[in-house]
Amino acid sequence: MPLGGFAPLPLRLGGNGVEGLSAEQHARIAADLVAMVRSMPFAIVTYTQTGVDVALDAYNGQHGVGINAGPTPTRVGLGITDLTWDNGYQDPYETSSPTNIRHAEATVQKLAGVVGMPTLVAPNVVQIRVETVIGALVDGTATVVVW
Amino acid sequence: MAVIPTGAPAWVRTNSHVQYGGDLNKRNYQSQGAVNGQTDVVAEEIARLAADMEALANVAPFAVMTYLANDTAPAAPTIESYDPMAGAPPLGVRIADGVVDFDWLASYTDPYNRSGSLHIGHAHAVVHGGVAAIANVLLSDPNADTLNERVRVFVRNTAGVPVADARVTLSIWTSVVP
Repeated sequence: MPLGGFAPLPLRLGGNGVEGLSAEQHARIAADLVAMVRSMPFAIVTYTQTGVDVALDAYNGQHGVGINAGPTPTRVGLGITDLTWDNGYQDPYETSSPTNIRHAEATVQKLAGVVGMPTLVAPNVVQIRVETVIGALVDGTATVVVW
Repeated sequence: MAVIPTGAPAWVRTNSHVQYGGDLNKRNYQSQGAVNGQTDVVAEEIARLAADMEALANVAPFAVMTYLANDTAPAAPTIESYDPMAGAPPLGVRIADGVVDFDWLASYTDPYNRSGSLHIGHAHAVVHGGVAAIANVLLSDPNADTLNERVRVFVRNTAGVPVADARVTLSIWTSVVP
């Protein structure tokens, strides 16, 4: 097929800033993308525990957004919740990877003088304790960030 | 000759969508759009990629780590897990019960050996475990080069008494160099 405006061509680096993507820009994309992949959270989840009930309020995960994509919350006791993710997830191209949570942070909403304390129970399970400043467990709403 | 990426590494926080291939007037070559959506990339997709790269590069943490303080048998903290944009784990020093310093380098390099200064603008620490404890952080510039390279973490109980041997997750974000 003769070359021209209507001939299909592979994406080639170069050209001007308006119509092209330079090698330098592509290299910057590649370098910064790998940097951010290393440090970005796997997920952010907010949940509420009230009495025997515990439910997700919001969920943002690399694999999906919305509470249906989030972990399963389980009430362990007053103020104590386990968040259990699937053992692994797929990306849009069905490439799978196991869940391996290595860091967790928790912050409690709405209640003054209350802290959220995470414990890494398993590669896919994080336990959160919500405690007052004098160590009394309480129910509440917490936001948890995991890597 | 090795390619030199545009702009600076992500943690310098100075890249805009332009460094990622964006242009407000981006258009397809000769205004020809995709012939086949499965094989072709169009200007609109490049523009979205570039815009979202800028957004992510603005807020991505520089590093997150989980460490265990060693106070009962005094020693440097044990960094159990470390996930950074670049570089090796920082140097950890035990200052006192419940108090540790972490010192990062003044700059790091990306895979293309492009250097970017490190100036820590934010830090967040959370204590793990079963006893109510609070972690506070303090950023500082230990060598007076105008860059914050040090984070000091204090772990105390609610009475203000230092907590020994705490396990903490610490995350840091860089900001533009002042």
